[in-house]
Amino acid sequence: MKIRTDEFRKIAAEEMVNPHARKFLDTYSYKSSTRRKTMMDIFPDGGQAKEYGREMRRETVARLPELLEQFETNAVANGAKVLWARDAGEANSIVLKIAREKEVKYVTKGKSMVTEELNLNEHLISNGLEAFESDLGELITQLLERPPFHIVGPALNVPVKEVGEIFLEKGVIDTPSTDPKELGRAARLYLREKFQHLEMGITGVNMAIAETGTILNIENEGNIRFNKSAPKTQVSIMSLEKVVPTMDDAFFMLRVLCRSCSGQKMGSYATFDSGPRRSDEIDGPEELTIVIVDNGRSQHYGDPMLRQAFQCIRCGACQGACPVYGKIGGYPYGWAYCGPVGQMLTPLLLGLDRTQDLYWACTGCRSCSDVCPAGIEHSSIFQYYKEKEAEGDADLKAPSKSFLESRFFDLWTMALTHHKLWGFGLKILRPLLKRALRSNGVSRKSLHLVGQWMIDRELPEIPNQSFREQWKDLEGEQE
Amino acid sequence: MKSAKAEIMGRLRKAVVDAPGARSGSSAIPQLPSDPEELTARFMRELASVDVTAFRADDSREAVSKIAGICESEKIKKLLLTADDTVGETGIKLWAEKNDIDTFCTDQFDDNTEYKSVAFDEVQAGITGVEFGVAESGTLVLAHGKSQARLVSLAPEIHIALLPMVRLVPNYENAMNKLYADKSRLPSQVTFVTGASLTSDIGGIPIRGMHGPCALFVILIG
Repeated sequence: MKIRTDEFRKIAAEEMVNPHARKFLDTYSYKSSTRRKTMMDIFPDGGQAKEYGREMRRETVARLPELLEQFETNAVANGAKVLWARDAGEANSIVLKIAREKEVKYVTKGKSMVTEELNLNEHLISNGLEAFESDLGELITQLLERPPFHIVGPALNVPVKEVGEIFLEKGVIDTPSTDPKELGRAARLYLREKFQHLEMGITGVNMAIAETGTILNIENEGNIRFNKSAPKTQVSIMSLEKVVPTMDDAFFMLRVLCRSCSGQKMGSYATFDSGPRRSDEIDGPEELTIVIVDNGRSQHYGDPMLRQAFQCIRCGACQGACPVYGKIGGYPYGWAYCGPVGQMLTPLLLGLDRTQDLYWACTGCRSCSDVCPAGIEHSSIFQYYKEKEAEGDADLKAPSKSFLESRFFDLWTMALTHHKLWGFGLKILRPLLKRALRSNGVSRKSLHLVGQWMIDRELPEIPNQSFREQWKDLEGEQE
Repeated sequence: MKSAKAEIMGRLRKAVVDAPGARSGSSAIPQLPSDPEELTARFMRELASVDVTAFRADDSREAVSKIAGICESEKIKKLLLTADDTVGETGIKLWAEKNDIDTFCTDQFDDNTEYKSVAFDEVQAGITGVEFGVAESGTLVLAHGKSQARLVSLAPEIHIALLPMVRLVPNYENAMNKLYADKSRLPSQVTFVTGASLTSDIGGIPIRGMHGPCALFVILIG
């Protein structure tokens, strides 16, 4: 997937007038929040349940090293192999090496955001393998070569006609169709043949349960089940923060995840894998390899503000609540993660210099935090990124400031901290501003130096004297 | 040179992190009725809410008549069976022989390729037992192993699940505490099945039957 975070504004402007995006987004927020509230109400105490989930995620992230060790020990005891990868390059090399050892010609992959982050498909394809997305939404975006529009439904904005056209072009169907059922059926048959002869399936991991060394995946379609159970080799890829302490914790998060994600009590299929198949079983993988990926997370683990980002369970509730996402959809975020999740994770992993527009695109309304079952304060993280940008933080790859901007704020700081200098500056500026001011507003041309800042602002009529000067005169009159 | 794990864990451990406090909220497991009939009624309602067709059968023999009805309505001529006791007790093979329906059982295959060919291409339905039914969401819990092969409930277009009523429990925890009691003998895979396969990925329109079975029938026995 090409990273297009630097095109945020351009793509956002396009999507705001895109009729297909509008059709979905203009009703999305209302529907998702209504559905979610109804489903959370089934808990005896919905507010308490939310608070418990938040505390659990905070605790999990605080105990991350210990839980990862425990998970690995138990997973290996179950017969799984566990490998660690510092970055995308290492993770992709591990997967390719396994594919070569097993002499596979193609793989199928379940929906997995971390594998999008790694650009795994492109790596496998450039090394001579075929890689098929098996989730219907991911298949559509793969064929269209687009990023995900939505964390749960990556192709929800694509009109049925366009799905039919790309399916026809790529050979998924032989005759044109705009019937969603027919298209779904065609995708089923297209991938079914691949599942039947599959030698290596790749999945992500929703949760890695430390207590038992079990990986858990939740889905509706059944493709992840096929990726796990049809081939002899299963590779499941997780980022560090997917670990949960106990099976009971996993059930709690599963209830919250399904309700937050899609308004369901439970997805159609949840699969819990504790190692590969046993020797007397007729199906299931003979080998299960779990790849634990860092890719820039551990270097920020020590920062308590950024550590919040690891509490995310990828439910997408924040997207449904975000007024910005509700206007622009997923494409402008330009990478594997969109909405407030993308605004939080993408700057962390790619650097602030490539992602400024993402964390600046926040109204500060905190709707995301209100609905987040994992207790993340998204807007405080975005504010933190802005502070780090101003400080020129090297760890977060803050962009360098322009010479003019830096000198302006040097002068500004000096003026604000020296009142006589401030007063002198105002004496010079006031007549200039008054000359520029017209009855219908400020002349933007005169103030072009401050540029965008004046687009939505108008100055009031500027008096001849400042308040201090008027006060001094009044005092003089009274004497 | 340090291994990837040592480097990553080194960075994680170097961080100064405040020890987490005790959790003050409640885990809030949904409360369900304890009366067996009310629990069953709740389970049936949850099954209906995820488009599952459910039947009650007093015993294994009556279960066969329900299976017969499904085979007729769905025009099923070939069945794939798991090798578990619940399926065996129905005597389904004998009934099938008398009614011109072919049956395959997972324990008859030596070869995984032949088994997969049958599961994907030959049969119209797979019949499995169920380890637990969970009333809170109408979920079937399948603990895979030699007698509960995975693809039987996944590859065929129709999945027929036989659930003895004594195995109905309120919540997921009730089922998994039993299945995971012996940490040295965990099932290789446990699957929660809640309705048939589903997608809404084309225009947000819900469609049953994406990659997994298109229809799920549950027969509650006892």
